[in-house]
Amino acid sequence: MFTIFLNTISDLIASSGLASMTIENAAMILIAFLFMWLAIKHKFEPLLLLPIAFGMLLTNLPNTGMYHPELWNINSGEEISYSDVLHEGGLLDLLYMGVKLQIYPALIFLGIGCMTDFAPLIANPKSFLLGAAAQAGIFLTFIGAAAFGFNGNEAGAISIIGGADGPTAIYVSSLLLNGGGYKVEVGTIALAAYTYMALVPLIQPPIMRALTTKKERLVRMTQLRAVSKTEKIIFPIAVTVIIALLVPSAAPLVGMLMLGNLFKESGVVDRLCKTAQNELMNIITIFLGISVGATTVAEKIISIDFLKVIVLGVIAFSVGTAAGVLFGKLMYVVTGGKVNPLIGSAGVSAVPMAARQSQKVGAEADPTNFLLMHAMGPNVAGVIGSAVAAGVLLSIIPH
Amino acid sequence: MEMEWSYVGAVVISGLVIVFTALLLLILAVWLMGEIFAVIKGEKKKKIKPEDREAPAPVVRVPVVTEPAVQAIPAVTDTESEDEIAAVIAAAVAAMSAESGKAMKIKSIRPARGRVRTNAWAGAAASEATRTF
Repeated sequence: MFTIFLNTISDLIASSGLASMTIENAAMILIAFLFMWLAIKHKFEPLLLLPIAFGMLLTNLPNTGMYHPELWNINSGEEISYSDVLHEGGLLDLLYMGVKLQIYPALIFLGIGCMTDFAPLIANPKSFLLGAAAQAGIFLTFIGAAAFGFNGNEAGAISIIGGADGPTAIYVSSLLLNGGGYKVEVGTIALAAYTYMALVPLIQPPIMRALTTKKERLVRMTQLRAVSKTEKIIFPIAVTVIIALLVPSAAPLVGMLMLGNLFKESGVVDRLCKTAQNELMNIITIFLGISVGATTVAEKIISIDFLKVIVLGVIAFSVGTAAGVLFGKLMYVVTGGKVNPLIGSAGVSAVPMAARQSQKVGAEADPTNFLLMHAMGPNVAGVIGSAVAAGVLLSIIPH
Repeated sequence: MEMEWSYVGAVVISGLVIVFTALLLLILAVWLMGEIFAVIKGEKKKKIKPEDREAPAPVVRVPVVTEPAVQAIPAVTDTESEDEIAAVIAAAVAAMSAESGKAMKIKSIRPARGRVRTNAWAGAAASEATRTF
């Protein structure tokens, strides 16, 4: 009896996670704890960083069988076998299908559309230019990624971090990094993107102050005109038609964003709008976060390549911010001082944090100057701009 | 496999050109839409003569502003908004009159001086417009 007991204990120990734990797993678990701490203690994008960190924890606890990288890291030229995923996959493999099939980012855009008010952009359509200028961060980082030795697909996935839009980054990277053999993966891109989005209040203000003069920061912008309900209803339809015709690969993101906005502005599908922006979005956020976190394995995170992604991510964000502010300065000159260049930095699509920074830095110069609504125009234009930039990358880079 | 620099250049230039082109087209479309609606509103305004209105708006005497107006005061241009604002002001005056038992009227509107504090309604509106996704 005692021998049986000892054998049972011995088998239990041999099959436990502790026996299979590697140093890499332990390091990744510590990193997961770090991200959980950042999310809980410092509220760094907690809605996504917390599930991402927990997914990272689950996937690095040995023998849980929740995620199988071998099902997804296939050789170049092969296709993922979804039959194998369904038969052999764990819970996180099944949830990850929503990322690989580009379902979750599009549904998150639907919810964002329901929450977004495009009135400041409709009232001041020139804001689109600032939204476009800030996308320079994406394309200039592509050069940096090439200089660091990444291939086209990897460079495209890294540079989209500059769009400051998590769902777009996940959408693009899941398509461009389809298969194995890449030095980066969806999880690392998402992790970098959401970390930098949380750091917007630290990254943007110094760049904004450095590139503007006190006189420029003091500019008061004229009140935006009132936008009628009919204009708000026509806007999402017009944007969808124009963008889908010009850049078809951007249609899934822009189309869902605009569908959500049409739900909101039409006022006739209140139930759908509430569902899309609350229950649906929350469910998708959980699925997206935990499954993306599960893809972060040690050899991709504890590596020089991940450090390069971190560096390129900062460059992407900073260049996007600087390009927006510089274009804002150009508009300041062209309009004879009617545009405050600070709203240009909101052209990166971290909504609404980027617009808040414009308000904050503007208020430092003049507490009675309210730039928030003026900055919301470029900010929501940035969402459309980054989706278009994503479509452009997907149409240019073979995948 | 590393990329050729000509390919990198092509991606960057075509990317920026396409993004700017797409957003310029959107500017054109939104600007056109705004112009069309401005024309429609202008025609409506012409058709509605002051004597045709059922309830005239309360007379609000606005003194000439010699200093820069606080930007939070909206520039009202369309008739509908004017009527709506007049109705809101009239309702506020009526509520105050009923509360105090005295007849009240608005004699003037002046721009706020010094630091403008955001009130609860403005705070709620800003919070609604900028809450985290």
